[in-house]
Amino acid sequence: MKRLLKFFSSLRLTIVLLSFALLVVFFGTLDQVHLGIYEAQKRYFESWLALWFYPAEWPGGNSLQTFFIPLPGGFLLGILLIINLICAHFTHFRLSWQKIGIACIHTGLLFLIVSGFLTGMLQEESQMALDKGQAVRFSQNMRQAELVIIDKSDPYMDYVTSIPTSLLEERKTVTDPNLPFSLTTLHYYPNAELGLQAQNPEAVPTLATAGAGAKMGLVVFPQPLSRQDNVVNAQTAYITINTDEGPLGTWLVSSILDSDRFPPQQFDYQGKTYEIALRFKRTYYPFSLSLIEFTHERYPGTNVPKHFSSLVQLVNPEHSEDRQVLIYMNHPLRYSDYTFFQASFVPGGNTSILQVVKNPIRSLPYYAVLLVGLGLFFQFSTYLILFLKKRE
Amino acid sequence: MTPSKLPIFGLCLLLVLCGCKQETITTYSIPKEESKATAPGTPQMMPGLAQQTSGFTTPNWQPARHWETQDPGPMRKGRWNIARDNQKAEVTAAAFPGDVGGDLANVNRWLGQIGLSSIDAPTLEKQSLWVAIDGKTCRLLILYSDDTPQAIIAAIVPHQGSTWFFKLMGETALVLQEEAAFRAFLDSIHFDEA
Repeated sequence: MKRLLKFFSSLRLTIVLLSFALLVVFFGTLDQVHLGIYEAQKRYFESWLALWFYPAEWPGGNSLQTFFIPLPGGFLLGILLIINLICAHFTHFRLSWQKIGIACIHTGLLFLIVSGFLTGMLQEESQMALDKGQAVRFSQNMRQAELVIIDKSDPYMDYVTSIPTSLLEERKTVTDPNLPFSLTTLHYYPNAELGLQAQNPEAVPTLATAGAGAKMGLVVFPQPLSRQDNVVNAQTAYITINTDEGPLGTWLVSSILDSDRFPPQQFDYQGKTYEIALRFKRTYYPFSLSLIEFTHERYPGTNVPKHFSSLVQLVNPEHSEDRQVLIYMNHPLRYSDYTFFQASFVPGGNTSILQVVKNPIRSLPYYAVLLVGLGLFFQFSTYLILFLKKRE
Repeated sequence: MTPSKLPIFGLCLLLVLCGCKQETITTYSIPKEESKATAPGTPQMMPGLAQQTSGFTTPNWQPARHWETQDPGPMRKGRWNIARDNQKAEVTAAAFPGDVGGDLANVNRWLGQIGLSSIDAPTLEKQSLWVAIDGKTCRLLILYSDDTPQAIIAAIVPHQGSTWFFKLMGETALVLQEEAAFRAFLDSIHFDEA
């Protein structure tokens, strides 16, 4: 146990871990060119182990592309640094008034690493598209999809059952106590295009027997998964609905068939109307935002954005709140547990896109930095006072 | 707890947190939704259908002179803005394969967009006007109410296995003022037969 404690409290280990952190940043940045920011972040910084492969387009890439370097991922480095810091602190330091500054610095550093780890685990990001004059109560995660079954039979409320796409394994049946039927995934495509059977006679015939896929004769063309930041994958699936009386039909669902341009795919069972859709994962809020005015200024004579802002109406009936908020670059709206950043817009000026971030520990890094700052101030002040006393 | 056990406790806590990410089926209720927002990133997420719609040949048409031509985007074939007396409206032309779920579903979607309740098939038949567009008898709808600020005038034109939607949408007063210009635009539409 003592040897283990000695190993984990070693300052050499700190140096090794920080060196690895440098390497992870270096190789992660190299791979970001191919993978995009999101994927590079997942693979290198929000993982336990990262593998860097020699890029095929580099000199000798054809023969060297199987060569790889294993690296500890950000999570592993973070945990080892936390253990190292705690062990080192209790091994090398004895708490006393003179060293309380060092204790503060170490605690601050610990909070910083923990907050980085927790942010990776708990932070949720999504986008909210605001059309002028339309109140919106949800945001969408463009990297995650959900299969939803919506019970539309109530005149005032919709009852949504959301099934994550990670459960849509081929030939697997999903059941839920809230649904009077089960769903079987015939095929799931992480990215696909749709086409017309009539125009593509050589395509695999549609498996859909009901809904838009059957009506329009839509066929699926599987596509490779794209990891580029500005490309959205169109998740697509064939879903069969099974009842006690036998299958109700097979529906083609896809995030391409979004509800803004295509009528919802509905069916009736046991006197209730249900809607089935595969859509980008939604998060609903107890308040709504609507776009009043979107302003977009460019630098004269160029297309380079100078300033863009969204004047929105925030309505929260629970708190009898109805007010206007101006969201612009570096001035997000912080409301409830969410932060709404001005992210993008659709050309034409009628639609503004906000990035919505939920980070339950967003204040922790500020407290951590404050603690480190206080610790440094206390420690340096103590040494300064001692030094001045000695001189006297 | 002795100091030497602290790292083990911390490690266990973090590992427990790692296990919290498993996805499960969730259920929730929301106030009834009729109209839905445009999905962000729309132009990138429908490569298949964008390609199909780009395949439709744009008919000949004569938009009103005061309509301001806009970039139609990947899914539409034409788009024009109208602005007068601080009021705004938009004319769009779009084509989709098949009947895109049928006229009733599309009309109910439009009604939702301007805050009106859905209608049933007999009501749709009663509210429909029938006009001739390029020799075809097509459904024309004028959708508005005194209680809502927005109105829609739209024509649905089936053509060679696809459906064309011509829609004038905006502030009610302006939309009603533009009805004559919109009808003249519909009269001017002529499809080149393949």
